[in-house]
Amino acid sequence: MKKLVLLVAVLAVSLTSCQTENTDVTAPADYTFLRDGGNTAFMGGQTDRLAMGGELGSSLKDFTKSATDLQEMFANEDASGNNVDPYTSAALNASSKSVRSKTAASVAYFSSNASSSAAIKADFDNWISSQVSEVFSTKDSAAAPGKSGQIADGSSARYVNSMGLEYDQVILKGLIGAFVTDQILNNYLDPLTLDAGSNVDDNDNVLLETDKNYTTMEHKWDEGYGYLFGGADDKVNPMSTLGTDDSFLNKYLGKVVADTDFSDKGDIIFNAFKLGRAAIVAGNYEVRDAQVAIIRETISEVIGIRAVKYLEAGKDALAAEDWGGAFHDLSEGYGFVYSLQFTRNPESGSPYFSQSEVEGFLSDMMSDGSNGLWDLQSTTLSTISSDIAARFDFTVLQVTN
Amino acid sequence: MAGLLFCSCDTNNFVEDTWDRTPMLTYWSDEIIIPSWTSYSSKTANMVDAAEAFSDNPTVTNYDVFKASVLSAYGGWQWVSFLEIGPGEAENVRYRTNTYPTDTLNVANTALNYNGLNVPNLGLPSTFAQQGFPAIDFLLNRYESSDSAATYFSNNEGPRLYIAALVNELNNASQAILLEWNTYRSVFISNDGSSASSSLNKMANDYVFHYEKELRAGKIGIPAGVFSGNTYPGKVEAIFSDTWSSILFNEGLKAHARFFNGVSFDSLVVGPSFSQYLDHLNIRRDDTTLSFIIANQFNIAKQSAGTITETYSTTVGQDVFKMLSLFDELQVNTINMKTDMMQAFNVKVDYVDVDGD
Repeated sequence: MKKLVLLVAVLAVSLTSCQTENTDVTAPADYTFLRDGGNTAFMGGQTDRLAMGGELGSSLKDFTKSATDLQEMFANEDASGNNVDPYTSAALNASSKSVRSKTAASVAYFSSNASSSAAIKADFDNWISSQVSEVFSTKDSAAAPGKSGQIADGSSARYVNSMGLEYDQVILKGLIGAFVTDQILNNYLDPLTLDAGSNVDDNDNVLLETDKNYTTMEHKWDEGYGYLFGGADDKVNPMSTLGTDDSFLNKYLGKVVADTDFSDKGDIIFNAFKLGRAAIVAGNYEVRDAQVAIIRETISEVIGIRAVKYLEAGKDALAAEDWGGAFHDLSEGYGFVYSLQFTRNPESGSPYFSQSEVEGFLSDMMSDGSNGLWDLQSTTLSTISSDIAARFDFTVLQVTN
Repeated sequence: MAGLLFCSCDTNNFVEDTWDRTPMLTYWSDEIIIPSWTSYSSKTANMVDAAEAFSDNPTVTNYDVFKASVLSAYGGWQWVSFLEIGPGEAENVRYRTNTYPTDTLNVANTALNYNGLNVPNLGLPSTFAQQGFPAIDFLLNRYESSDSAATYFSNNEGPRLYIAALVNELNNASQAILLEWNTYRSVFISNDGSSASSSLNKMANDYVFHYEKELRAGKIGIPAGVFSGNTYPGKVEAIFSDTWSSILFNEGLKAHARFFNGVSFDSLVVGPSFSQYLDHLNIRRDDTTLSFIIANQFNIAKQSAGTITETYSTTVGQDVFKMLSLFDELQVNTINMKTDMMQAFNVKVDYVDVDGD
């Protein structure tokens, strides 16, 4: 990380001294990119999908919904692929976008791995249907080991399956990885997308898309940006509302920067998006790729930090026999651990944790006894937390203090 | 001399912590916690008797007697609300007893349709806002006079029976918790270490949490709009009664102050307490002991509460600055206790919540 920043700084310094080559790049103050006075940065599809995911999230706790209703909110089509209108927002119903089709769908990780993509989509499909068949159906009874139902978390009621798991939390936090992070890091910011076809030549020659004010490469970058900042009302200056603009990565990046140990993570990511976009305009792909590396590392770290945060909070709550509080934290943790398989280590080009490592963690969480989270031991959680932290550049203590 | 020696220090005087927790835990159990639950339980038992008499014969006199028994029990609750540790916590008793504002629509419907048999499952967390004193307050206190109340209940058997059922639930819970303390007492006393799950650490956390969230925020700060900028007269405790809100707050404040100072429930003795523990550690701010600063601040808050003569909902609506001044005085001790006292005891605050959703 430090090396990368240094490299960028050196580049910036050295490039300013050779302006004749027209390759010096500096990050603008905000995410304003104009051409002939007109805006060039558009991310409406991302804004829509984040809003669709938000409606799905609240509906997962609406007992009047059927499994079909929820599945249609996830996919924005019915089981036969026909158009449906599952949202309360007319604008979203009019949109053809879908969360499910962008889940485990990045070019880098899944374009030649259809079986893995299908298996991950099936995880979400199953969690959604189980939320109705297992959890909605027992909403008026008390949860117990081996028995789904509701359980108190302070003054709130949490609705868990027979293992203590809240599916709605698993789904939402799992989508932060499988949908949002995968799309940003492994799809839109990947050279396979940015440099696809004639994108580089077109960008160098400022060949705009038909009837658009942007080059394809510019637009791909903006779409990546949109999965983090597209929920903001002010997409040009989104940092003042960070944490409040969606239920996904924006929300949890907001929580991460609230911890003084990690307060710079938001600015690091935002600056890298700005500088990378400016680099595309300048045709400087070295600077662009350095920003990709920063974004990959930092967003991956955010997933890791939140995973550890919830596992450790769950551990404390279990020790206090605060079952409802513990299950809520652990269900969020379960989703963030699931999301680790969609992270991207800029040096290796692989996830920080492989799919099988993630499966191992999740299986460990659920198999200390026959009743899942009810039997979960603090040592199991400590091991997973420290394994996660060890692979990133932070410590468990930084997360919990 | 000691004052001179320590006057330049802030709070840390490097006194070794040799405080023996066992006598304090024993004293708390025998002189404060169990007597408080015993008293509350006898009040809930009285309330059950009065509810039955009223339900059998809804006269004006029986209504007034019943209403007085509810206020007495609601006041008694303020003395145990922060003593939820152990059996009470396992029963979610605080949420079941005093979650407000109550869900009036739901309570009204259930009461009107109640036939003595179709009792909802009040053990479920989703029903916290449909039971306890706030629901009883709603059913019992929204009449212009005792006459009109007695007339209403004479003509409506469902609400009459349902209010008795709610009262029974409270009594069942309090009797069960009191009984549990027979066995939990030794667990509580023997858990005398200093880990996060030790009795003192949990009690200190429960106490400070309750002071901050229930007494300061729930009863005063939230209705006065401290956290939102909007005042919420409807979120006052016991909103449907005329005078209960200030009575209940003052009971709660008194109970907190006395627990801090180690005054026994019967007021006859003073024993090991947060106050004495702070003195043992010689915790001072400038030349004044922290124990005195906190005890004195409780008195200041009490005086501030005494300036409020109207009901809290009226005060929030018409003279909110009185509520805000009271909040400010309560806030002073939040910091004294949550920061300075907990640090002195080396107890980590365990309720910095991770998440709101």
